[in-house]
Amino acid sequence: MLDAFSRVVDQADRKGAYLSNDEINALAAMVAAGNKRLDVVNRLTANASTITANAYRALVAEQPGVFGPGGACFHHRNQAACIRDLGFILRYVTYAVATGDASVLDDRCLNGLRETYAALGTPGATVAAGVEKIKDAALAIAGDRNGITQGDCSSILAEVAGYFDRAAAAVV
Amino acid sequence: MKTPLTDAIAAADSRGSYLGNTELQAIFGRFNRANAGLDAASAFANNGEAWAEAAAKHVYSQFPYTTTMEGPQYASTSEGKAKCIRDISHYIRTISYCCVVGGTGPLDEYIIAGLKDLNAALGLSNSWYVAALEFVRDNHGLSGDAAGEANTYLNYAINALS
Repeated sequence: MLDAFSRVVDQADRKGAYLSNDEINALAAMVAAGNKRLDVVNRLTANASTITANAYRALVAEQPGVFGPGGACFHHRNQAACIRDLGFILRYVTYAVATGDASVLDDRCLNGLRETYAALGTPGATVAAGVEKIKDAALAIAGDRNGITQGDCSSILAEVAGYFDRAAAAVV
Repeated sequence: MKTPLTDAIAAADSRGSYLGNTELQAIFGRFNRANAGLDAASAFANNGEAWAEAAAKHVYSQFPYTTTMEGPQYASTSEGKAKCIRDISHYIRTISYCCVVGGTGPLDEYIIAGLKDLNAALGLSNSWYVAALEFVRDNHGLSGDAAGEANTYLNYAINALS
């Protein structure tokens, strides 16, 4: 598992080089904006249950066949697993936001996930649609301007969106 | 790689839980201290090669036999001297990486794992590198928090070699 700092170190080491001024400045900029990053982690963590439950509700409304009789996600056992899995993905996305790097999401959540779902008969496209719904809810909560220091958060929100896109792409 | 951030994540993940207050405090503290490490890394990037050359000269003067003994592990030839500077540079560069990530992960993974076996196989003495790193520590000219970061990892490497 790498973080934003060790990612740059890993790349520099492959070249046998010290960090360049640009690399150091980019990391310093990330440190300077660290409060935004931690605010996002806090908000996603504090609202995790709401985000996943609402995403699940919207997903069922959109794809009733998958969750109804004869569907791949019929019966409570499967439906509970669906909510649990959406929570897993959200949790690993919060980890990735905290470290500023996707490696924890890749290594511990996404690698092999497509194959696991294929083996279980879970439709990957439905999972990807669920991830899209978590993403929308998460971005709305992380980007809410009420009750927080005002500032430009477009960069960190784009980064968060990127982690969800990565997760959605990993299961279809 | 083990860093303050990946440590916090690993702790939360082993419980299967979101980041808790303890982990968030650790991450917050790391962000607060990161600038000192980046300042130190910047100084290493600007001066590391010069420090490595000066440290090698210091080793030659402290252990004069290293420049007179013949053999691939000594610095009696220009080739030997170049390898000496290359190896000291490798140590110093990896220490600069530790300043960047805020932990000993780079030293642990890139330098210390296998170090004793490697040096024993090649006939290299740990004490040469200790002398080189002590020279860098005592002459880098850094001050304040940046010096604190640099010295933490220089001392960690020195201790691992001792």
